[in-house]
Amino acid sequence: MLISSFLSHQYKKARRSSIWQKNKALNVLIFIVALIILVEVIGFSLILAHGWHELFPEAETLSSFYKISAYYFLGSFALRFFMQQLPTMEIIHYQLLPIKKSTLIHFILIKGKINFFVLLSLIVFAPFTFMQVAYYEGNNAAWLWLIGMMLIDLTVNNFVFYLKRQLVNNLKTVTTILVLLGLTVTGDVLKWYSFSDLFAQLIVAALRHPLLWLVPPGMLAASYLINYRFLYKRLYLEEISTKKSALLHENRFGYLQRFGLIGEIMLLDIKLYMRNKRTKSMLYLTPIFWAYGLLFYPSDQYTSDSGFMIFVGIFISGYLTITYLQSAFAYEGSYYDFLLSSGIDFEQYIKAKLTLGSFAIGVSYFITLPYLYFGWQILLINTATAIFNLGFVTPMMLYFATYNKKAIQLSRGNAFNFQGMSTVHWLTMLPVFVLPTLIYLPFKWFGHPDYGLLALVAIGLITMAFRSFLIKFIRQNLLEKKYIMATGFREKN
Amino acid sequence: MIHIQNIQKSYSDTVVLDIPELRLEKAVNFGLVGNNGAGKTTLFRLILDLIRANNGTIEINGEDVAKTESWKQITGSFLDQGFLIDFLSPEEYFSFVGKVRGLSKDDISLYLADMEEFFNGEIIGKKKLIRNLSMGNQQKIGIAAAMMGKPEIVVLDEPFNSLDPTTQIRLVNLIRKLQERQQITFLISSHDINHITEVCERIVVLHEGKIAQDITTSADTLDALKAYFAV
Repeated sequence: MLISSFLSHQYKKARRSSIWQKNKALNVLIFIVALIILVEVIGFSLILAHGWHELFPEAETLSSFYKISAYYFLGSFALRFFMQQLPTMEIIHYQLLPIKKSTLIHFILIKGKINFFVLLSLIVFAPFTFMQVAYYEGNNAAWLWLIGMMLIDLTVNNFVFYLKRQLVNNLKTVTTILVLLGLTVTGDVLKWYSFSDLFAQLIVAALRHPLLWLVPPGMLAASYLINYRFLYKRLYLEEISTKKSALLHENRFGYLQRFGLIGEIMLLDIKLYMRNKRTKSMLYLTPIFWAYGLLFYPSDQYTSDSGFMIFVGIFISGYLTITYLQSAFAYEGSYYDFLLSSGIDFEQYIKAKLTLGSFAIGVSYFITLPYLYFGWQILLINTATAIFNLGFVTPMMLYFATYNKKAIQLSRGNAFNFQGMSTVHWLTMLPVFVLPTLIYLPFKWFGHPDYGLLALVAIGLITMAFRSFLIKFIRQNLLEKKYIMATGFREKN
Repeated sequence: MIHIQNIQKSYSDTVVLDIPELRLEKAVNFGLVGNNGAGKTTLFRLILDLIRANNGTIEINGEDVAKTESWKQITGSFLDQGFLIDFLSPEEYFSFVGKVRGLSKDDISLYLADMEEFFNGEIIGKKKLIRNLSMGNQQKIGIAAAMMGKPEIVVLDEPFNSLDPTTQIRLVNLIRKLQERQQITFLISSHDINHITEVCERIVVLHEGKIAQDITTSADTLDALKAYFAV
């Protein structure tokens, strides 16, 4: 009963928050994109699971997947650590009511289990379970394996939960975690030791000795208990209300409220794009740029030149975002004085722009996924370049955007209007397109093009992990340049 | 409230503003008059930290405006069209400004209801974007937005320009009312010496970037100003 009213409160809070109310159109859009992504991921997983045994020799069919599962959990740990919000609610409202403390904590902990990542794990593991494991090991073992994997996933979730509460999210922590993850992966790849082999062997052993299947539930129960006791000790008003407390402060003033202003700024930029002639015609052209790959992919002559394919990949997923971010401030030139004097928090202002830019990359990436038709190599390249775009290119473009001193007149002209563009525009385009190719090519020349892609992915992920520091850096730059920018924007040409 | 010290601004050797010292007191409306090029807008831009001074500092409540940002939360301003986001509807604009100022949805509706007389029914619910409104109506939107969120200081550059006579009188009353009720300090520049003597307790005349006169408004002020400008 109590749990259901908690859930209903949470639902109402989300439903009635102004961002949802006002941005219904935006929400529908997000929903559609999410649906497309979901369908694509499911389809992808089904195809992969269906054809897995053709990719690996018979003896290694299962163990190869087990090894990859180990990497999956590692990646899932990293993603969760950097991206997942602590699933807390404003329990402060409930603490004064005669509700058992344990009920509140159970609610927080269990609600935290229901999220996107768990769904993702299910999508990744379920098809493989029934198409491959069931074939080789039988149905019962397949079920056991799936349940086991999900339990391990939840344990990872609990572990992240605990770790995030213990550690303060600062430069040192992020660096440490990144170095540890990097060492784990490098060690595995270079065969100093092999956690993926170990993981695979454990699973194989477990399939032979079902008693071992008690381990995952045991780990889950233990991790749940640790979290529970940790929260139980710290669930006091004083500790919650001090801002420094690692516990629960994420949501104290309402994450949605903070998201509120960021959401408003994003919405403002969306309106800017939709309601002005120049930006609108640029939006209309976007599908053409998505289709850019069709010029090259059908021909072997181009696809064999993987260095050039990197360029195409950067362009396809990044075009929309690059044009948006490199002029992000110049677009707002006509009301820049207002932005400077209104008291907008620049950190949130920058975050909003990066978020919208990342969103556009995500959409472009998923819409162009059908390029898979032209082969795996292209999908790999496009994935690596999309991650590079997300992590590295977005903050870099916004950093360079502070060098634009000419306001862009939005009401006039079309996408091929170069008013407001200067050499800076073209100069900043250069590193975006040349740099990733330069990173990739040396690896290719030494015969390891795959490592070149990995390097792009690594740079993308590392810069993503440091995003909050890059935001501070861009903000500093913006503050230093603001007089020059505002003066330039005021001059009407 | 506002303390200007030794402020100087020049563009390529031409000094456009040079004020050794000026102190503005709380809830004493401050008027700025002067002919074109006297430095009125420059002074306001310096106070709002929109341009960099060559010299000197400006403090709001003891905070240097060029080095801190918290003063922005208590300062509302409308200098020119550069303060309007013209592809929004008035409602969207007020909602955005309100959000930045930390107002709730209800606060914003209440505030707009309060402003309805000043808007004269020409702003809200018209289903038009700001860029499609007349200059006068755009001016009303900018002024109303500057006063949102209970600021302590409101800076208005030529607020009476392009307003119709009825709205000019309503604006005078609105400024008086807000000054009394909320202790807002208005900083207003104008070419209209009638209105400025009506709303400001202190008037400074700028001439070529320097303070030519510093007057505490009295019954004789209007005549004195007329005499000064009748050259």
